[in-house]
Amino acid sequence: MTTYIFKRLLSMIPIFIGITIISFAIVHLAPGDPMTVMTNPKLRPSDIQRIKANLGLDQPLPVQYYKWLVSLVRLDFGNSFISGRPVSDVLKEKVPITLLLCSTGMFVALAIAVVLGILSATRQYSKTDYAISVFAFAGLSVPTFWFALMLILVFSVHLGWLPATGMYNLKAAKITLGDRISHMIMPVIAFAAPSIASWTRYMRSSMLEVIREDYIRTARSKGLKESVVIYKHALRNALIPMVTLLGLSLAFLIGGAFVIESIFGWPGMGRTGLDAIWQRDYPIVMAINTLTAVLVLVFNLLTDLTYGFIDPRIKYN
Amino acid sequence: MAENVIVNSDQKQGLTKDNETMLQIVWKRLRKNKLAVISATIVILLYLMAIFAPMLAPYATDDMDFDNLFGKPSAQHWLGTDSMGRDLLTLVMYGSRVSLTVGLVSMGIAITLGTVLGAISGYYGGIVDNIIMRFTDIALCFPQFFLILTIVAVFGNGIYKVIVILGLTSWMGVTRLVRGQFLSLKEREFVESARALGANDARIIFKHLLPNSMAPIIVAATLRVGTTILTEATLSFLGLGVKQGTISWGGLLREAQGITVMLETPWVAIFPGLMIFLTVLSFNLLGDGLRDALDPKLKE
Repeated sequence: MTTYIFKRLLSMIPIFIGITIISFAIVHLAPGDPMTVMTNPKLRPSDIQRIKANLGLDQPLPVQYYKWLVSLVRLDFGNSFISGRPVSDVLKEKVPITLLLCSTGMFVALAIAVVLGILSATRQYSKTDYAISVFAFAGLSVPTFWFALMLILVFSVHLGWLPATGMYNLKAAKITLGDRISHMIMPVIAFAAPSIASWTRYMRSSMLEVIREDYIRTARSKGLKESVVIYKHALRNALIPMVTLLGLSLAFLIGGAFVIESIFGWPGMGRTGLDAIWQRDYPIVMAINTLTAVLVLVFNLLTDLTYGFIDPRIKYN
Repeated sequence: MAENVIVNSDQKQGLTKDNETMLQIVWKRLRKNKLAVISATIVILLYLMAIFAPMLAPYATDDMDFDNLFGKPSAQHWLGTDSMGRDLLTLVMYGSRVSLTVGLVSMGIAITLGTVLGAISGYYGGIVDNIIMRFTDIALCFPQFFLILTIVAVFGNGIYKVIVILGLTSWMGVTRLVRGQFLSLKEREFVESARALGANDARIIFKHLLPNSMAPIIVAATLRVGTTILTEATLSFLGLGVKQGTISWGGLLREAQGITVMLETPWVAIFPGLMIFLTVLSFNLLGDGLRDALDPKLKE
């Protein structure tokens, strides 16, 4: 086990280097350089040179990359081009806000998907199964941003039940938990929708596979109640592949947060990232790309390790 | 000769009838799946609509009805009009061109790239395989959507750039798929016998391995079109997809997201989204139907 973890950590090093090279290259190999977009015609060439020197953009690319990488390892992502604030400060403020949305969304999606998947699998080819399949296909095909707009149209504009933007009511004297929750309902639903759809399908087929196993037949034949067979014997085993799925979905989920945050005015990393894209604030863009990619890398390692932990049949070598 | 022998032995086992091609078999199976047939019909109709938009659309895209800004759906304007009095049905028809083109061409790029890389990786193995797979791992770590946004921000937007960028950022799944296929297929007897008969690498790859990997590739390609259309619409909605002025479903929704629009003229926000939904749903259902039709073993 220790050797396996060690090997996995070693194999992560080239992938980490690759991630940093790509994050760096996209921004720096572009036609022109990061300066071209911020260049104001009023600036004199000498000013431009000075700004470039200030930002370190006048050095050869490999030197720039090396310097960026070294400070990156120290968690120093440089300063924002626009506000001048250290990027790490900005991220420290924004990442938890995004994590709140992502983790709640993931939890909700997983809970709903597991329930729907079990319903579907235990009633294979029934009307319920059919309805859940239709629902899953719809969830996979609906554009998230449009779904979010429709939620706002129905629940904010017409019914007036839920607030359309923000994390809490800015005008309220005191922020209550209810206020926070009411601001989270729509973003979380919109965020979770595609995952509910795809995870339900995986859960269904995982469950169907497990139900056909010999140990389920054994459990049934020794007279256990159907609910015990399903929820105790089958469910545990059917959940194993879902762990891998969660790990693989992380990159996709984070991508979804960018859209959801910008529609619901959720002040997290996604919205900051989108603003940075618009303003060509490259230090922030590079930091978000690198950081999320590394997060996914670490998450994949954890997934693999958890997998072996919950399924003793898996042997590491 | 060798292939004939194998085919004949299959026929003796009753797996295929005489003079029935693969295409006919697949069509026969697909025809039984009503949802898939309906989806295929919708996809064909959508492409016909996109191609013949200038003939089918009731108005020209620059016809503005100034007496009817934000007009409700009516006999004259079936889907209503937008902020400039343009006929929404016309705009939705023309808008389909962007989505359907981007979906198809980007998918082509991604599938070609993925198939080539996966084939090389799976067939040759060793260090080439190692390099390609590590590169795939790296690419899969990035949150695809933000990576696409970054590339668009750096290289600029516009339909051609979006097509290439979407194609170049979504080959990873197909690479892994094709590699897996090649890895398992190349150990099979028919490949061994082809090699024993002196077939070279190119013949084994193009005559034996690739045709046998086609089923999952076709399914992945169909599903890919749907995903790509969703991504393009999202980019255009954020103003980072096609250039402003190009009519696209995502772009129409971008104009519709204001609060006054939502309050007073919701149809402007509803119809383009419904079209995206219908298109992607059709591709997804068709892909699912093809999965069952191409290989009954793949059925869940």
